[in-house]
Amino acid sequence: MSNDEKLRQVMADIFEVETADIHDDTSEDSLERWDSIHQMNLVFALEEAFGVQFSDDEVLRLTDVKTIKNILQNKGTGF
Amino acid sequence: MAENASQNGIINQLYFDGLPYSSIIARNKATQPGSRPSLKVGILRNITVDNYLPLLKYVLSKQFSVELQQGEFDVIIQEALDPQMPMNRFAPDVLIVFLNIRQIAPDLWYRYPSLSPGEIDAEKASVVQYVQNLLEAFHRNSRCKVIFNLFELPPHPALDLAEMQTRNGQRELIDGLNREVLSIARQVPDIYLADLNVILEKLGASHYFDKRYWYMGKAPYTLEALKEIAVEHVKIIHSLYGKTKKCLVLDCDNTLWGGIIGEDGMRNIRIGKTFPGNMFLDFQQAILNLSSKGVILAICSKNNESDVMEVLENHPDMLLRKNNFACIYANWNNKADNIRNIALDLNIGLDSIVFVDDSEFESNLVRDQVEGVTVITLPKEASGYAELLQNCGLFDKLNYTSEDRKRGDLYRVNVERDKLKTSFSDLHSYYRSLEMVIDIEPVDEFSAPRASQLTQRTNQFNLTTRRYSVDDITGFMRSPDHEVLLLKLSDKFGDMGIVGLQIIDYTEHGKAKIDSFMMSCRIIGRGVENVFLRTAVRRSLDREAAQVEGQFIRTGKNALASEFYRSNGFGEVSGDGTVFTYRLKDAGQLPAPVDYFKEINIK
Repeated sequence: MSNDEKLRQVMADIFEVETADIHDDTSEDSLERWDSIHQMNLVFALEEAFGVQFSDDEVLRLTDVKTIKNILQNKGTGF
Repeated sequence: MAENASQNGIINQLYFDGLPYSSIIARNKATQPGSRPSLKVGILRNITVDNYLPLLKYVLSKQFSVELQQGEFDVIIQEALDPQMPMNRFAPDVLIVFLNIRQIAPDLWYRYPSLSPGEIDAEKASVVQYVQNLLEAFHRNSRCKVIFNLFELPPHPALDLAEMQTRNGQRELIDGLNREVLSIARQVPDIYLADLNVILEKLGASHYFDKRYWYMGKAPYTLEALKEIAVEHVKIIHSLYGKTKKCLVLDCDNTLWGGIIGEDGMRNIRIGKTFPGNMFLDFQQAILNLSSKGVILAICSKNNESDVMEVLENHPDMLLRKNNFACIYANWNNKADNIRNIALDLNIGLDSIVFVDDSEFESNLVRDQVEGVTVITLPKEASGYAELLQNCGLFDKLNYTSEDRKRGDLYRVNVERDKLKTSFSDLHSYYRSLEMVIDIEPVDEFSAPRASQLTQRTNQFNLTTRRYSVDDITGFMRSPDHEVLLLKLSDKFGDMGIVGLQIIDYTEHGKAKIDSFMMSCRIIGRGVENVFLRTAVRRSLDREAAQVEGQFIRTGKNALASEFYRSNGFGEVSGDGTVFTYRLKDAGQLPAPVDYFKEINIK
């Protein structure tokens, strides 16, 4: 599974949507369930899936797919 | 996913099937209600534990059809006291309480060095009072079982080095609070304490507390900690509902000892006081400790039986001996078949069995072929064996009884007894040869823990499968309208202890209702259950009950008991496919007694 597929799978599981519903411009505004509790689930799930840890600041910025990919890329995950 | 399982250890493998958090959430959504018994779990909290809910739900869903409800943030005492609150209306079977010390007594946690001794005492007294009110309120307002998390000890105690030089340290204070909670919990029925400090110590503070979300949303725990906490609570629930595993089935080569007996021989296998044999010796001690706590041991290995027996009987350094095992399957058949035979020999369900093997091939085969069995694949390093067994939690129980220490022997002797049976041509003469002695007596304070345990462990010969805590049993014991009778059995092979229980309810005038009737299934088939029932029926009719009523409530496991009342002369009065009611009005309807018991004593 590519990192892109993995990311979309994690997000689809957390937000209870299809992987096809997750695009680069998906954000907390476009997904109904993306509230602060699901955000916490997302952070835990991403850290576990990609073996990374997010800083306080990054946790707050993980609110759209583009930024998530950017931050993961900075931590050495290629997309 | 397999890679994940090995990284995050045994808890992930055994309880979360090695799944990542996102898949756990997805699986929860896909769970169908099915035929599992229903369980309602409420969570009250003064912190954010939303991430804990999917983890708890996932593990519980293996045994139960689970409904979870979380109380509002920091609304604990109101939920406990007010019958109109949603939690009371939800009527949970189990209530889990997260009462965080940082939230109810922030001064004790954050400002400790600036508090005077008087202020510390006052804070402490107010926390104790709060907990007391809370726990008593739960008990008054509902019949549910409460799991209360003890307070966490501060990882960086406020008085640093001075903590250990004085009597006023912060850790000592919070430890003292926990001891107060313990003594309150002993006074209030159905309160079960979970010590999160065990997990905190195991993981270390930096892997236990997630500081980011503590500051952002009062969520204190890492994912790793939440998994462990969920498992801790599941263990308590499993113990309460009789889901704890009963039997440990072990491989031999590279499991009980290092090396392969068939190739290395007696002299070269690794077991003993020095490295590397001491790793296996420690593992054997851990196994023996489980046996002392009532876990039945068995062997399932691919060896020549004579080789295994030689080690068990004659190796000078072995801790485990032949008599520690209820049955030994050392042969070249496939392990799936051997494990099925072990379940038959011991008369226990496959879902009560845990199988341990170092071979990935064998453990995968069993996992794949034998539904219900829990399989542990040992790590590559034998230095981790003992800890893994202590850590797995599959056998953890809320109380241990003196029967537990003897259980291994009882099962072993039972298998021997069954072998003797095949040498008799008719059953009655076999039974007579056993010289069985039955004692029937009312429960007392000493036998109440065992009585509760029987209700929790017995699945097959259990007519109504009602589970009762020790507090429930003592409640019945004190009630003038109830009678709890125990049956003890011994024979020439040994004393089996308390193996039968029934609870009779006389609340309804002129009627004796058998609320519960169960027998440990290792003694079923000898007619003891009939003696027990008939004794109680006579007693009830003597007590001026005009009729005795019994119920059979069908579960997935108790088909064995379905004809019990009918075969004892009761008539069926109603039945809807699940719950059947039977009635008997005259002792004359009871079948003729059998005469092969040596003694029947009734108190």
